[in-house]
Amino acid sequence: MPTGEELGERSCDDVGPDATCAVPPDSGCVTRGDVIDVYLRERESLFRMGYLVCGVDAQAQDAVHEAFTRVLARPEMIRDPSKAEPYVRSIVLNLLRTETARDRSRRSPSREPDQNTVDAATGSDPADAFETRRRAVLVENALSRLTVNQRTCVVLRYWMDLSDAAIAEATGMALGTVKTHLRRGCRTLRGELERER
Amino acid sequence: MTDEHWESTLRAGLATLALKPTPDPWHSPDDLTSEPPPAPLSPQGNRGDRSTFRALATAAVVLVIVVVSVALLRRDGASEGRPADNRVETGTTVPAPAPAGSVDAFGVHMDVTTETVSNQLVVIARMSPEPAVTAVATTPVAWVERERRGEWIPTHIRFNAFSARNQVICGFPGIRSVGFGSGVSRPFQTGFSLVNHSVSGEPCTSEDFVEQLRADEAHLLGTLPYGGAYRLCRFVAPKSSVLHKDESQSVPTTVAAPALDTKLCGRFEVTGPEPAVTEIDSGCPFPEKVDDPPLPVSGPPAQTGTADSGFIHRSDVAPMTVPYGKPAGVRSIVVWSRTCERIGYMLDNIGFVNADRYHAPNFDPYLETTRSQVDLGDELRWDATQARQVAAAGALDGHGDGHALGMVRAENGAVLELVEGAGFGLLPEQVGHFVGTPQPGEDGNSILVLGSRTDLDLRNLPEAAILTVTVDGTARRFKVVKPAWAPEVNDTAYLGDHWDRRITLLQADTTNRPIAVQAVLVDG
Repeated sequence: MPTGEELGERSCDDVGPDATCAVPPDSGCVTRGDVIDVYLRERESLFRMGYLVCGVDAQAQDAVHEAFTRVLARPEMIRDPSKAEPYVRSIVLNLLRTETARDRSRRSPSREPDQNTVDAATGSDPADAFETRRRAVLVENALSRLTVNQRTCVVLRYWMDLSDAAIAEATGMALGTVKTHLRRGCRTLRGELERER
Repeated sequence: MTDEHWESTLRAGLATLALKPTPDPWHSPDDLTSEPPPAPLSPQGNRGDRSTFRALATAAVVLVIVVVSVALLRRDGASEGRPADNRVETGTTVPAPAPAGSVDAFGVHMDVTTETVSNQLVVIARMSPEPAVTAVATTPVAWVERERRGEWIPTHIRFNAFSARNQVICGFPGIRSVGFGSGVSRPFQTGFSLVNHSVSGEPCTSEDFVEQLRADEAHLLGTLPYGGAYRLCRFVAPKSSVLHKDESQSVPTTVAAPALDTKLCGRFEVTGPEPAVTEIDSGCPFPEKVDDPPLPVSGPPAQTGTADSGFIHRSDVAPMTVPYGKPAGVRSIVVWSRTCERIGYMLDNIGFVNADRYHAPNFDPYLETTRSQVDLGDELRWDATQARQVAAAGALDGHGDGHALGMVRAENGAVLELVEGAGFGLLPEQVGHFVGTPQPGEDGNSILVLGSRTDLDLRNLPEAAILTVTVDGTARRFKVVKPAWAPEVNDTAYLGDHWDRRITLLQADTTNRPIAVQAVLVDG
C-alpha cells in the first residue's frame, strides 16, 4: 500500500503561500502525506470507533471521511505529526456527537444487531454464536441508554483503552467531566446489563 | 455481577459490536487528496486545548458566515461563477395520465418537472414511452455549499415510481471522481447495482462504474429498472473537493438514456428548500385506493391460524387494509423478491438507515431470493399508502417475471396488506414459500416463519434455550420450544433473526415449509 509520500503529496517545503504553517519544514509540520498515511492506517479503526459511538455504520463512515477531508484541506494546521491521528479522531468524535445529538429524536433508541453482526467473531460453534449474539444485543441496548457523551467516553475507555486524560483530550471535555460521564455511564451500563442478564 | 464480570461483558460486547459493520470500500487517497475547496470549514473537532467557550464562539462565527453565505447565494447565483445557462426554466408539465388499467398504463406520457430552487439546483425532465431522454441538471457546487453547511440532504429528489422498466438516468457533468464508502455514496451503490443490470446489460463491477463516473462526459448515476423510491442526493464523496474542482463544468445537461424499454408511472418529488412535486397518477398497477379491487392472487385457500399450513392469503389481510392516504402507524415494509439484492439496495436507499436485508440463497431451489425489510420506525412517518407503494414497487420484479411479494406490516406486527408482483402472479406454492403462519406467543407477540436463513441450528441449542430478542428497543427473553410437529422439517430448522415484534424462525431446507415454533416470554 503506498504511503502518502509515495503518492506524491507535498511536504512542508511546498506548502502554498497561503498556508498557515509557520513551522520550519524540518520541524515536523504535518503534510498531506502524513494525513494520508494516517488515513491508510487508521481509517478502519476510526470507523469502528465511530460506529460504537453512534451505532450507525453509515454515519460513522461519513464522519471519518468528513474528518479526513477537512484535515486534508489544511493539514498544516496540525503542528505535530504525532497528533495527526488524535486530531482526526477528535473531529470524528465531534462530528458524531453533534450528529447523534441532532438526530437523537429521530432515531430509534436502540438498534438490533443484524444477522451479520457476529459472524466474523463467532466461528462455527452455534453455542458460541448464540452467546456472542446475546452479549452483543445486551451491550448494544445498554449503550443505547447512554447519552452520547457517556457513550463516547465509555467507548474510548473500554474499547480504545484510553485514559481519562486522553479521553478528555480527544473529546475536548474537562477531565472532571469525563470522569463524571464515565461514572454515570458505567452505572447505567452495569444496571442495564445486570437487569438483562 | 462483579466488577470484573460486567466489565468483561462490556468489553467483549464492544469488541463484538465493533466487528459488526463492514465498511464499504474506502475512498482512494486520490479522491481524498483532490484539490481542496477554496473556503473549507475549519475542523470542528475539539482539540485538546480548546475550551468549551472557544468552541461555542467558533460555532457562532461559523453560523454567521453560513447565514451570510446563504443570503449571498440566494441573491445572486451568478456570483458563484456558474455559467448563465446553468439555470433551468421553471415549469411543470404533467400531461394527462394514461388510462388506468390499460396496458399503456406503464407507458405514461409525461414531461416532468423542471424547477429552479433558489437558483441552485435542479432537475428533471422525464420521458416515456419514447426512447428516453432524461435530463437531470444540477449545480453541484450548490450541493457542496449545502453539504458544507451541514445539511445532510442538500436537495432531495425522490422518485416514487413504479413500473417494470422504469429508469432514471442522471447526469452530473463535472464530477470526475466519486468515492465509495459512506452513507453519502450509498446511492452510488444502488447506481452501479442497477446499472449493472439495466443499462449495460452486462454485469459490471463497481470499479467499472467508477470508471464510468470518472469519464469526462455525463455520467450515469442511477437507474430504477423496477421502480421504487430512490434518493439521489448525498452522493458527494469526497464531497467538496471534487466538486469544487470541477465547478466550472457544473452545467445542466441532458443525457440520452439507452433505448431500453423505459416505462414509467408514479410520482416525482423534488424536495429541497423549495420543493417541487409532480404527482403523476398514471394508473399504477397496484391499488391506490382502499376500494380498489384487490389484486388477484392465485393460491391456496386461506389457512391462517393453523400450525402446519396456513399461508397468508390476501383475502385474509384485506380487512386490515389501511384506508388510503391516512397515517396508520405502519411500522415496516417487507418485500420479498427473487431479484437478488437489488430490491434490498433500493429499500436501503429510500431514506432508512436501518434497512435490513439479507440474502437467502437457498430460499428457492431455482432462484436466489431476497427478503428485504425496512423498518420505518419514527423516522419518516410514512403513511400506509406510501408504505404500500414501496412494497408494491419492491414486489414489482424488475425482470418482469414476478414471484415477488410485498407486505405492509402495522406497528403491532400485524400484516396489513400483501402486495404481490402485480401482473405476474405468484404460484400457489410460492405464496406458501414466502410467508408462513403467524403463531401468537403467550405475550401476544407472534412468530413469523419465513424462508431460509442459516444462522443458528436449533438442534444445537440446549433444550428450552433462552432467546434474547429486542422488541421495541428492549431486550426480552424468549424460551424456544422445539415444535412437536413436522419433525422432518424441524430437523433442519434454523433459528435466528429478530424482527421488531416478532421472532422470525427460519428454515434452511429447500422445502420452505413453515415451522411451528412456540415462543414463551420467560420474564419481562
